[in-house]
Amino acid sequence: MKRGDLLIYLFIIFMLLSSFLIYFFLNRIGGANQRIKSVVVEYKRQVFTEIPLPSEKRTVELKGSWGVLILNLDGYKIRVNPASPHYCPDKICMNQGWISEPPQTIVCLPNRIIIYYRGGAQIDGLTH
Amino acid sequence: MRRVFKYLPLIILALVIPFAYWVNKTEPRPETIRDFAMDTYLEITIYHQPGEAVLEEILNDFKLLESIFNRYDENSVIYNVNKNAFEKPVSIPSIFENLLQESIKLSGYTEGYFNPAIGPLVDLWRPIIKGEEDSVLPDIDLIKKAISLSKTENIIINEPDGQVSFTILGVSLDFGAVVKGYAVDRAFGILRNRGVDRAVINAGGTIGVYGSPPGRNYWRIGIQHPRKDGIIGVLNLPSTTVVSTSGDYERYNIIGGKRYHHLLNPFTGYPAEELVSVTIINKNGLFSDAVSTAVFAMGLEKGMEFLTQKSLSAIIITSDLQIHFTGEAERLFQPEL
Ligand SMILES: [Zn+2]
Repeated sequence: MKRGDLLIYLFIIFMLLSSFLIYFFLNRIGGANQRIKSVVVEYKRQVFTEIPLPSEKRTVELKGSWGVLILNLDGYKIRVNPASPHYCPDKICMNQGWISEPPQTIVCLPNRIIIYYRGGAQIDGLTH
Repeated sequence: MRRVFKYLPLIILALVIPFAYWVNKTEPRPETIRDFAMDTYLEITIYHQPGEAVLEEILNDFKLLESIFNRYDENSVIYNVNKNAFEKPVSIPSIFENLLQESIKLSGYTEGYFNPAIGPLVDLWRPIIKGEEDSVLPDIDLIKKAISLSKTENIIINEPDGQVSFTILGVSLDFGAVVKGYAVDRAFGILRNRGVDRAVINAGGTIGVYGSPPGRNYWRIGIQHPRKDGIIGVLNLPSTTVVSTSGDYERYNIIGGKRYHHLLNPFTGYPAEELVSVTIINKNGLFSDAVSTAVFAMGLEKGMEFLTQKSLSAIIITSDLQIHFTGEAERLFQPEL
């Protein structure tokens, strides 16, 4: 075998290998979606805050036009504290209790607040 | 140099394979929008780039539907119709006429168990179900009166003039049970016009999956467990489908140990008993919404008979949490362990 032949073989093997590597790397990025990354609080279609998960057991106070919304965090579990001194006419968000995985959401219709998980979705939607 | 030509096919192959992977990977990443309309939470995900304009168009259409069909909004078309259509015929936009006509057809199809003229009964029960203070259970005479008003025969559509009128005072339309499914159908129309390949539309629990799923065989739609957090199972859906669920856990109030919920039986005038959840799987959202509402009111025996006779796919859950299937539903269903 000539030296040139060897070079071409090596080139071909390199291209194939790198293509597989790129493929698996990109797949890994897509696959990262499998894990819950964070909890997002959206207000009027803007991200108000995003907190990485899992979280230690703690509370986060979110102040805004609604007053003070107290978010309880514990691992992947999230709830709006029922004693939140935030103004909510229907209190559905405050009485909902804990959510623990996507696609569960906490929705506050009167205050236009949506709390949802980023990443980790095992299903495309939830019918209810 | 001749050697290079000898290996040319192999070299091209080595270049083409990475390119093919790259093309495969540039499949549009999903874009999601979340907002409120029609008194409910909306979530739209499309696999299309750029997605912004399409998402906005769908959202705007949802808001248009809200401005027409929200019967509690004094500026809506339906409010005006309900208030004035007995005194004089009221002009209605074609979209209103369309949903009204389709709803009356579906009312006939479901033997009156889905009823777009149920407004008087809804108004009677609303304070109870919302848990308003000082609300008392409605009087039986009032219920009987409301039942007689809640008949589609009391509606007259004047097609050539695009007008609607009521034959007696007190008739009231309510599309609350079907407007979400109707919105999903319209969203599918927008996706088709815009050439979007795949999308998921969640209109307050009525879920539409559009096109084929991304890089797998099925869309996976969870069904809410009617009595606890989490799901009771998953539906595996290969292509465009709308899944609609009517459940007694959605809007209710418990008085004296009894659950009063928003799914009223138009014949008894009371919240329907026996079933806790009905899920309909169909290509059409308006149809799914109307039939899930109707079957909930029918109860187990009549509901199963109706669904079987019409060859429809449904999942019915009774109060003892037994799951009953019709049509293709059992094959598509995967219980949550
Ligand atoms: Zn709230």
